[in-house]
Amino acid sequence: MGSADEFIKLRCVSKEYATASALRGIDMVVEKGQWVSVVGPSGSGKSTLLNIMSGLDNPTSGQVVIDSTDITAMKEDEMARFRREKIGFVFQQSHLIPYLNAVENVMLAQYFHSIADEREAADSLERVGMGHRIDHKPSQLSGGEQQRICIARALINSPQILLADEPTGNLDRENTRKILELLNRLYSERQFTIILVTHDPFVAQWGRRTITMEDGKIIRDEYR
Amino acid sequence: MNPFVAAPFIIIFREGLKVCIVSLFVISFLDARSGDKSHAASKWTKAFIIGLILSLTLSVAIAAFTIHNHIDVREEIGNFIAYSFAMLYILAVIGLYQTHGIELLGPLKKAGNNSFFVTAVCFAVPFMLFLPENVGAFAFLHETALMKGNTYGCYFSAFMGLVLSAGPGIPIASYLRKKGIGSFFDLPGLLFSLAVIKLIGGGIRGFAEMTLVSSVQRGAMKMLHDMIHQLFVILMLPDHPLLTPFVWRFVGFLFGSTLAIVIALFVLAAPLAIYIVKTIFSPMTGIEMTQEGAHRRAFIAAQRSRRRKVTAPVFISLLLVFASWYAASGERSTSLYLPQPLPVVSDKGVISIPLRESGDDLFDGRIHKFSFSSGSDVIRILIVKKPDGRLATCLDACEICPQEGYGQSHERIVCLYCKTPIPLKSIGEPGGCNPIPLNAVVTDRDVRIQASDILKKWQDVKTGKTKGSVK
Repeated sequence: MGSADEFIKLRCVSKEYATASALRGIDMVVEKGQWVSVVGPSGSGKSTLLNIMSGLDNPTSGQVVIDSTDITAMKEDEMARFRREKIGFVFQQSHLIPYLNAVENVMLAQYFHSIADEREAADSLERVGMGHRIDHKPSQLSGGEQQRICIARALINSPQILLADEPTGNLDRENTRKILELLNRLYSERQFTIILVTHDPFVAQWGRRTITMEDGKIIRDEYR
Repeated sequence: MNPFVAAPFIIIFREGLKVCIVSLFVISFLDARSGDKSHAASKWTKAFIIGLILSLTLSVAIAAFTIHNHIDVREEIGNFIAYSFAMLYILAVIGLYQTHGIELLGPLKKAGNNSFFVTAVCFAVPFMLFLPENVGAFAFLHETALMKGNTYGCYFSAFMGLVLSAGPGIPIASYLRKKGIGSFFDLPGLLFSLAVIKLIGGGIRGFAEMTLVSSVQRGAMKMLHDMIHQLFVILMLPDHPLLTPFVWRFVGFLFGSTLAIVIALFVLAAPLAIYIVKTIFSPMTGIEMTQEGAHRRAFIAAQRSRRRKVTAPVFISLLLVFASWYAASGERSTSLYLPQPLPVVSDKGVISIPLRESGDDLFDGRIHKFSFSSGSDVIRILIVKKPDGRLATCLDACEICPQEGYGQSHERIVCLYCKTPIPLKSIGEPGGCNPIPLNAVVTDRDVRIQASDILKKWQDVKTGKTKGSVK
């Protein structure tokens, strides 16, 4: 279904809504271990593309193949299992559970994957520089700290793909740089694939490849 | 003529349901076990289905043969059910130890990996599981049709029972097989489940009769009991002053079905409980080979899930064993039958008791008591049909205990003094705890007993002569 160089493959993927087309026949291949930045103006289809690649949304037509598996043909429970094992998410909003502390938020992701392991969760927080804040609730943390916990939560189950939708959208330049440095370090250590959606050229430049979208189409695909 | 008769409907419905459930379990187990050996699994499944069809055909043939030749095989069927159950249970226990690394099978373990051997086992399993019950069911069907004088109604009801079990049973079984119910079974779990289905399915005997334990226990206790009596006889010692009612009740307890059922319950439940504990708490193997992090957690979660799954049917089996025991104990506690003695008199030295009179039938399988007055003594007589169809006529007293008589519990009579159960087939034989036999002549209308024989034996009982010891 796909070669080793075609870790993620989109074939003629379209997404139609009643009044608009979000994606128009997208063809795209991502190799294993690539860091791809997806940029473009608001409404260009970046987030829709990310949602379809993660199986959170279905395309109107076309096919999405990840690691030789056609995810568009999967049933709901198969898709949930696939997401749980292969994909990690980081969003603009942290979506941390407000009444759980930092380590418990990470353990929740472990629990839905398999079983919870507090020591491993604490170690992962240590690796993102939050070892001193494991007992703190999200409301006691800054935006940058919350995003670090989100990254620890996204990577705790060793996903092959990290999908990030405007992960630094709420942060100032300094915190944005720190988060990207952290991501870059973890990426170098673990060699997972990153698809990062952003409208910020500073964030996009951290990727090794930049795809530019406009009006539901890819208009530019550049390698660095 | 009534087109619906409940008993054949229920019996055949139950047997049909049992075939569906057992087939589902075995075939699903083979599916799950096959892995990538789908060809072998298909061969095993075919062998099982062919075995099943042949077993059912053979059941009909055996039932037809025995009915045609008037051969009573009820006892043999009962024994076959008990033995096949015991065999399944022993295999399950062996499988249990084998699974946990305790070698009991030796060279048979290699055979277990041989496809031909597995195919042969798959073919043979339906015979062990279904043959005796189905011969019994068909014989029962025929007997009911004769007794009710309603052949059409009985066979039609049986057919409806079959349709009603197979109609929903087959699609549900197919659905559950596709849903991967086989992942709930490992080998001991499957064998335990099959054994318990056989137990609950009942055949023609219930929980108490199923157990081989009770008969072994009764045999051993009977031997001990008789040895003690013989010892008193040899030593010319009176036994009853030493063997007080308390001691007798204790002896009765050792003899009785209460202890048998407790031992049986232990024998049945202990391996199931051991299986559950060992499966849940044994250390996980292969975990040290697994990487850290998510892979390790996924490995542990998969192992735990598997353990939960394979213990679920065994846990249900354990509950069913206790439920059966509870039902059986309830049944026993209410089932002692104690008829009031009917007065009889002698005519020219002969007592005549009609075989059938005003709805009372001496051949109905229940005990019948009669009282005969002689001076100040009221002597009770006990008559009952034995399993071989002949009538046993005895005093309602034994050679050993005070003359309190007997009650009936299913296929046994029970001494009201020492609570010793005695199988119906041994009544009429002299000695031990059996009621003292009388010389009786059974005609086509009545049972005739010489009053002098009754009086002589009663005197022997009163004076302790029958014990052969000084009283």
